Amino acid sequence: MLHYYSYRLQAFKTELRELRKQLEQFTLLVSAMFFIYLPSLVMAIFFGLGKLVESDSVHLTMAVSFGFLLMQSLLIQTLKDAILDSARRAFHSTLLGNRIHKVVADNGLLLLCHLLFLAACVMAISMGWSNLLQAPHLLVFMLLQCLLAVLQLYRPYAVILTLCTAVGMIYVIDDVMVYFFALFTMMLVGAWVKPRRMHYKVKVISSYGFWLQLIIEQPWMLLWRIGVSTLTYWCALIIITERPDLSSYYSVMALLFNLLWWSSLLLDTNKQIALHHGFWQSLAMLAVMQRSQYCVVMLCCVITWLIGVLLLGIGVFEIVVLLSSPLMMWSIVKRPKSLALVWATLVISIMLSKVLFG
Amino acid sequence: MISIQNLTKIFLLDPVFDNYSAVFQAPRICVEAANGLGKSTLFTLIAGLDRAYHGKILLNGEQHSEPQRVVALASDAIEFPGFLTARQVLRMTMKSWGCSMPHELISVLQFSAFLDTRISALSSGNLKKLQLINAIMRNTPYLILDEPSAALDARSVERLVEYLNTTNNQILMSCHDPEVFFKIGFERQPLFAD
Repeated sequence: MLHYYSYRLQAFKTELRELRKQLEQFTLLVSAMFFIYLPSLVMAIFFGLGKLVESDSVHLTMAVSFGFLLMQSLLIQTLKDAILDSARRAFHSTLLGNRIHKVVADNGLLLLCHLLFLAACVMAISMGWSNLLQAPHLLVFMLLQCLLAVLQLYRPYAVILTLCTAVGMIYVIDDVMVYFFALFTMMLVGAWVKPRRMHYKVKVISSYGFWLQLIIEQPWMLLWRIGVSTLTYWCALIIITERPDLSSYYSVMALLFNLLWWSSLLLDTNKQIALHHGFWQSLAMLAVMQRSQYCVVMLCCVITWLIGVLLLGIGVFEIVVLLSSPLMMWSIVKRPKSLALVWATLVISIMLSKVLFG
Repeated sequence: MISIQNLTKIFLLDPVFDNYSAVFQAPRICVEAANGLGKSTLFTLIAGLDRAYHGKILLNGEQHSEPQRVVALASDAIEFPGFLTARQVLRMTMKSWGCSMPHELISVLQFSAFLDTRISALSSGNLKKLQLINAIMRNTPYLILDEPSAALDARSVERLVEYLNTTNNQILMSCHDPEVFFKIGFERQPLFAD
């Protein structure tokens, strides 16, 4: 069976290369702009894990563990197709007599790219066995990380259920271990209860009804953005609490990141228009659909911006971020490849203006 | 009557039509040409789905700014959104063009059971039926059918032919197995005269 495992590794590497190619320009620009913060980012992960091991506040520990689980879910979802080799799943069956090899390969690759679990492992090893026994909830958390990741491969609905419950239970439960076991229970329930597929169909598809139906059918395009926006605002809130003197800079930065997540929704909507160009033309609806996608994306940008300013506060430069949304949207439609460049230019111009005139 | 005058259409650097002219006058025409010579491209141009060309396309002597108002096309070139159901697609067409649900045609093509099936889950035969229903239901003066019998079973082709025989719009189609359509008055016309 070695040939099968070797194939899976090769397929995984190829998919990763494709993904890297797609994000090449963006990652290059972001790393160039924020390279100074990259070591801090790695440290922040271990700082967060440290909060799990030892913290004065139970609620903070639970909030941090939720943050980690949310982040791992977003990362794994991005890599899920590469891990499972989804496009060629049927081909696997032609090579295998027993599906156990498929499951072993899936989970092996999952562990290989589960960075947050690997970070927790590094932390656990560096702590040593005797210290680890004094913080058993780190071990339970690692098990939780692992099981949630496996669940994400085969029962994605259970992950959504677990994460929704996890955020609610932070305010209800007062013990970390009880919190973790409650999450285990939710995962078990999610794994065994077959979800009822939502069959809601918009009766008459208008220009806006089409986008509503698209979101119902492909909720991931909204869910991941809600997830990263939550993480962005949450991180900004933590930093602002630690460094209130820099709050105005971090709030603008958080809103700029939020603008990037939500204006990029236009990449998904515009793909639908381009893909079905002939269909819209045949209905004489091409122009209407193009207008409606701008309205939908702008509405999302405004709503999430409003949530941001309610949490972080408002000022002139926060308003400038909102006003620059149409520019981002225009660049995405006209030259999607220059999205990262336009966003980076916006970040530099706004932050520089803030330093000079703020 | 559909009249094409000095049509030039280029894909990348390859001209599909270079100063092409033709007149499609007969009420029912089967356009004949080998694969890849531009039948489907010509149909999308006539139907107004592709505006990137030089030359004139006249419908009954008039050049239309929005030809899709008078021309309905059933073709693989029109890709329906995979997550919508067949009924949702037909309702969009009803809303756009003010036509009613074609219950009779749906029944003739035995498509009723698939109305609530997602486009992505339709078989190739049923997808072809949906394309046909979606175009014929509009009852436009010009109807273009690109390979209408492809993927259809023999019984469905017979029923389609019977139904088309009751319509009175000008029909242009491409078909590699056109014998059955000749029975209802379709005439052969080569895409290129020579």
